[in-house]
Amino acid sequence: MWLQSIVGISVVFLALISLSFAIYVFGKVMVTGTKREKEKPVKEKLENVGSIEVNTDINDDDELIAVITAAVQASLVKAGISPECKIIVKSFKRISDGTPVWNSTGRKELLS
Amino acid sequence: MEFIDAIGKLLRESGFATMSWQQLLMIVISCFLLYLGIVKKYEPLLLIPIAFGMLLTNMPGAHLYHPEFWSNPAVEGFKPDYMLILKKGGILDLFYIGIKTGIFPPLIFMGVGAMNDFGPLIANPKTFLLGAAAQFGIFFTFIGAQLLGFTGMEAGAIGIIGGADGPTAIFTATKLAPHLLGAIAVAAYSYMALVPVIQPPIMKLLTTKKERNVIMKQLRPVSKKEKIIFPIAVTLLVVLLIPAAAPLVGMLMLGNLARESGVIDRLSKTIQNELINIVTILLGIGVGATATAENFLALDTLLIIGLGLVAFAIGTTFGVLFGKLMYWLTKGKINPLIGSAGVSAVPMAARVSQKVGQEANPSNYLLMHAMGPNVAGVIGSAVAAGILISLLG
Repeated sequence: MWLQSIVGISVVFLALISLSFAIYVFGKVMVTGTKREKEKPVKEKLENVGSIEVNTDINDDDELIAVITAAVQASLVKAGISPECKIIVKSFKRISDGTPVWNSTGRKELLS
Repeated sequence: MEFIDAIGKLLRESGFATMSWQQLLMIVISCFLLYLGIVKKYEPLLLIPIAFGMLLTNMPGAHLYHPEFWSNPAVEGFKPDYMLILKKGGILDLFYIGIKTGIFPPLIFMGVGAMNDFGPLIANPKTFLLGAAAQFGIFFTFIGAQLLGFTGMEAGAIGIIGGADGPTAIFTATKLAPHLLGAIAVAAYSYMALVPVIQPPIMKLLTTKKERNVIMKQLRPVSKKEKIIFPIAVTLLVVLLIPAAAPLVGMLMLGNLARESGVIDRLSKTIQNELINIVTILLGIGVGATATAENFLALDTLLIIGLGLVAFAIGTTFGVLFGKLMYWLTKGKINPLIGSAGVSAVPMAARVSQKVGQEANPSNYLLMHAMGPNVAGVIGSAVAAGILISLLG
């Protein structure tokens, strides 16, 4: 009787402590995972800003360059850099669309 | 003359003539329970079907429920003959099949899983320990009941009242001591309804004003991915550890997964509304049906009601004491009042923590923090039930 009770309450604790531990570890992994994800896009943005001037590709499209320049300028201002900082977009490279066909079709269907 | 004979025969066979005083007393008791449910609003959703089941089962001559179909102490290893029950049983016998075969309580658990957000528990997994500590009541009462002369199996079924979880108590009682089911269910649901009366004095007695004042740090937001993985992980871990807890824990987590997955809204809504409501009606009436005069009117019933109160009070006490321990260990970051929510009774026990906390400090909101131990308590009492069933059954 006493033994059964001791075994019983110990197993309850064992089960819930192991659950608690598993969820704790899992939570830690998830939190650092989401932090990393959040950090990623920032880095990408910076890389893009850098790459605009480095990339060389002969594709003359004044209008597009104007738009890109304005966008970069705006993002620099937003990032706290003085608007007087001048930039020139010398070239740009088109990258392939990463969206799967299913998604873009779905979007188009929703828009039309 | 024939006419008078016919009337006389009808009267002799009517319930008025054949009623025993025990049945009359049971009808009075069931009317009292109906009063508690309707006027005092003690868990009316369950108490009203249970009380009405009690009323019907004690109607002489109605033969809605046949105790002899379900148990026979004279025959060792008696097993109910379901063909006989289907052919000759009354309507309450048919409802009771769902309880005896262990279908209804897990379905209720599925609904509980679909109705509750496990987020607070995931955000603060330490509170699992409070859900475990509150299960002390079950095992203390298990010992107490045996000292009072109940058999091991009966004591296990009585102890589970301390888990303050109706479906778990019913599930365990049908497995371990079906003849006590009526008394155990009535005790379990009455105490669940009395949570706001029983718990606050114990909570206030065991904590200081300073402890009750503690404002806890806001919980971190929990991502959808965590909420989806949680029920799967709990099922794997708990069922592998205690297979006997599988029906309750498995269904609880399935209900929760239906809620959190977000892709089966239709099923989730059905589980937390229509399904649980239908099952509650059948479960309530079926449980009430077992409270026949010969089963219920015994000294044992009074002992069970007394032991249930002890179980419940000890569960609350250990929950709060463990909360105090965590208060000391975390240097005052945890308010010990959330410990009392470790006895399941979702969400009533968490609301009591909130209320007592707010009495001490009106700007304190403990509800979400108390929901952690509260849902941990549900898992804890299901685990305890699984252990008792596998140790004793």
